Amino acid sequence: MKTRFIPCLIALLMATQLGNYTQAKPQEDPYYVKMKGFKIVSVGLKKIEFATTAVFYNTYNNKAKLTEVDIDVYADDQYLGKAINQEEVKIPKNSAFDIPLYFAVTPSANMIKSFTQVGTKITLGKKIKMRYIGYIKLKVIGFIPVKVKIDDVSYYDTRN
Amino acid sequence: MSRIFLLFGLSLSLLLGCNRSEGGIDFISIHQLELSGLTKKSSTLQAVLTFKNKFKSEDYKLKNLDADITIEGVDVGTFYTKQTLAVKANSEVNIPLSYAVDNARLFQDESESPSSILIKIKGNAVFNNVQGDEQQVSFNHQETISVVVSKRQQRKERRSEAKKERRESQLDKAKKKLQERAKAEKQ
Repeated sequence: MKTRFIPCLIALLMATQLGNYTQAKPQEDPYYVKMKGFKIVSVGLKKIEFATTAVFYNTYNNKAKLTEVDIDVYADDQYLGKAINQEEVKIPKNSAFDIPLYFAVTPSANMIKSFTQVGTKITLGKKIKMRYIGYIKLKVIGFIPVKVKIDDVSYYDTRN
Repeated sequence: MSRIFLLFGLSLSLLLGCNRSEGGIDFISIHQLELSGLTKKSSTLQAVLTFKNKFKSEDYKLKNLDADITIEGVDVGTFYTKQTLAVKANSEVNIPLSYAVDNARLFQDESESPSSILIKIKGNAVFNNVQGDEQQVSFNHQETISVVVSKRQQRKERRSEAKKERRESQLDKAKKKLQERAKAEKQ
């Protein structure tokens, strides 16, 4: 009797959770809101490090877990690299959440010209066009995968 | 002749005054700002943002609002809402803000329970009307508020303080005993 009861209970719990998910699932999927706090962490001859924060909105009535971040970063149409997330992100239900992103650039011979252009813009205090293309993957209720796309252009004012 | 000039001037100023497009949406203030239910893990930041629609005949609706929240210099997160709130012509609207703050990032020292906290709220609100005209309003507010500590937390803090005191007194007693023993052995 006991051996049957536990699997039945687990199945019932799963069913209620799924029911909740399907019932509470809004018409809209989680979406990208904005980028904020772009900053140059360090500038060296071998490596230039950048940090920024991506803001998304979880439309689900359930907590979610961040599983993958794949975002390409471009500065003035020059590919900089892939942004990675190194911190644990808590995604509450029906709320905006921040994903701290970090990316490092190792200037190669082909990129030196464009890097000098970007560098002179930074030193002159001009605006730099930053473009972010990619996606993040979330898991809702532990197993339902959700992909959120991002394609955004923002301008970084080096005077700030 | 002077009367004609006066009348002409008056009518011109009236005409100009009528033609001048008065309007826009202004950020008025953030009030009822409080950080409540403060525990080691979390707390809730609540506030009310007030905007005023200065247009005399155009109704607007809130399209979206985002606010970056910084507490004691630490970026806590972003509040975002797409709630459609109507802002009638020549009237004010209150937009409630509620954000669950993760205190693990804020107060790293466990014994720390500050009595006042500096909160910065910076963001943008976008309003639109029936014709699709958009009004973007940016706001920046900074305020030092007193923290509302929950009774449970107060009790916990009192207990931990009492524990510390007890431990310290026990250690002192043990030290004294050891010193007395050492003296006795020497004698």
